[in-house]
Amino acid sequence: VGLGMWLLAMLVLGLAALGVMVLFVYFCDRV
Amino acid sequence: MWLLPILIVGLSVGLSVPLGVYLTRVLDRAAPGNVLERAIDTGPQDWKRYCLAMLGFNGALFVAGFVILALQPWLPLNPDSKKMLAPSTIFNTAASFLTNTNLQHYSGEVHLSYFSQLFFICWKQFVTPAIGLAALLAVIRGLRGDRHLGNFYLDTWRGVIYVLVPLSLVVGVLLLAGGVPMTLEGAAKASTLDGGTQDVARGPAAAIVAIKQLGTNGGGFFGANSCHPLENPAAWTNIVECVSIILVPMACVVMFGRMLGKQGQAAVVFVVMLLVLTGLTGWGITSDTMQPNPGLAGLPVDQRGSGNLEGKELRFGPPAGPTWAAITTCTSNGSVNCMHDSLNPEAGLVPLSGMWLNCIFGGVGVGLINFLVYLIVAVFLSGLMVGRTPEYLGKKVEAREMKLAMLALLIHPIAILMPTGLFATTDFGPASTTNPGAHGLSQILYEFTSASANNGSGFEGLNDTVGFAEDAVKPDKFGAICWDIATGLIMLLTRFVPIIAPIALAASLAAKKPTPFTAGTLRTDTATFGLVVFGTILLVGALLFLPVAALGPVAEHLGPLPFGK
Repeated sequence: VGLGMWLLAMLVLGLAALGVMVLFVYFCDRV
Repeated sequence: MWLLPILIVGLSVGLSVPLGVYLTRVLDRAAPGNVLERAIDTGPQDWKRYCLAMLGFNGALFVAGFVILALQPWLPLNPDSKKMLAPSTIFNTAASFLTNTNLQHYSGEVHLSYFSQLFFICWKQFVTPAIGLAALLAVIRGLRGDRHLGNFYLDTWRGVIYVLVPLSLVVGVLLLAGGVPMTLEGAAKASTLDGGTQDVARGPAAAIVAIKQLGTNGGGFFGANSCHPLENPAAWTNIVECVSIILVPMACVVMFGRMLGKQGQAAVVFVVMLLVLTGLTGWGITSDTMQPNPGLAGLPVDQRGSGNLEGKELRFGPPAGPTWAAITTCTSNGSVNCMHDSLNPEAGLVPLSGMWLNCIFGGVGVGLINFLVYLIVAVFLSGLMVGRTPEYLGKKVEAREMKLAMLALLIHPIAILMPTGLFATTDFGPASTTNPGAHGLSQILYEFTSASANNGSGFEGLNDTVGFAEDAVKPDKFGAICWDIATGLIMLLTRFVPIIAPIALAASLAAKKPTPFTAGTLRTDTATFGLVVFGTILLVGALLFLPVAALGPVAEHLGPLPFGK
């Protein structure tokens, strides 16, 4: 369970970083 | 001494012109050319749709790469029974190869199965440079004034199929002829002279090494990268690999001029880039190959005529290391044929400077985008000096464009200097470095610089490898886990911000009415403007990074030998 949670956390971290980049696209649109 | 760099740069320049013409012909076609292209083409995209398509595609790539690495023990083509990597290393590696960085916190022959090497590493090494090419195509179309920036999926497909696959076939066959292995069999057993046996790691290396260089990827099949005799077997394969590193980024500049129909503009960019590249290469050779290793002073070692040989691969000759170091860091490639940690301190500034500027030919596609940001800044500064609204390619550069340029420009130093300061002043950094004082700071600085520049080369000497999942619970691996997560996040941030903001900038320029060319217009295709851009790059680069350079390599050079305390 520990390893699975650790893997999931890392996967979510990467996707969250890409999600921030999606927000950055909209930020650039409003600059 | 100078023949090798002259040969490499000369060959690259000569080959880049026909390749640039070819790139323009196959990549800048409006209509889909066959059934496959029609299936891939989802129609013209404006800048926002283009960027969102890119991010969605990268999200899918990240998940797929992550799953392949996590399932490594249960997937086929694993003759040496490689186990699962530590979760933080899976994150770092998935981010690294997604962003064309290829920073490796693992050793290929130790930690990865052939399945992971072929269907994760090799696959990403084809796709991610094509994404960089697609981003460049979008920026050039915006600067050209196109209403739509093309179609991301079609541009990426064409980059892989018409550019990277054919070039890799040619270079891969050359490397095979040179002795680079290409097999799916497990490690070979060799008998040693004292009667023992030794495992000799091998695998499908030729295919991976070819695209590793051509796509400015840099991630080696073997841990020692292009120092390894099975990854770079001879002096002539060293030249082939070095030319392969810089060829496509140079051709991108030629393509830029042809797509715009303004080859004078491209000539200015090309010459400025070439000046900085040759300057850094010359600096590296002068301060490393022509200078002794200060750490060996007083010892019975004759360094006359060969300079600093520590960490060099002697099969290639003394200047091969600094030459490669300059080219691999200017181009965001990151492969190495010598250990950058062992360069003399002044020479260690060469790879750092290449990555700090990150626009001297740069990564496939993205290097030229970074240069165009500097160029916009140069146009703005020139406009201020002559008292006119700045213009580039007949379009006014105003507040919105400058804000976007600054976002693209400043993310790089922020992503280097802030974490370097954090790691240097807490236990994260010093606990992982293998040298005290200024050299230790250089090790930390280099790692974050490499991650932020999406370069991937290592200064080495950092304890940043966790290993397999079972190793992650060991207390001494906490520092390496921190390195995995910190550099992974930086790579993701610094890959996409400097792509998205310039695409928005180019689209913003495309939407403006052209300004008529008059006698007062600042010409951007002249040698004078080239000098202004050259000065802008050096000045901005120096303002951003000289203070930290003074604390690292410069302090080490000036400080007590062997290393500044």
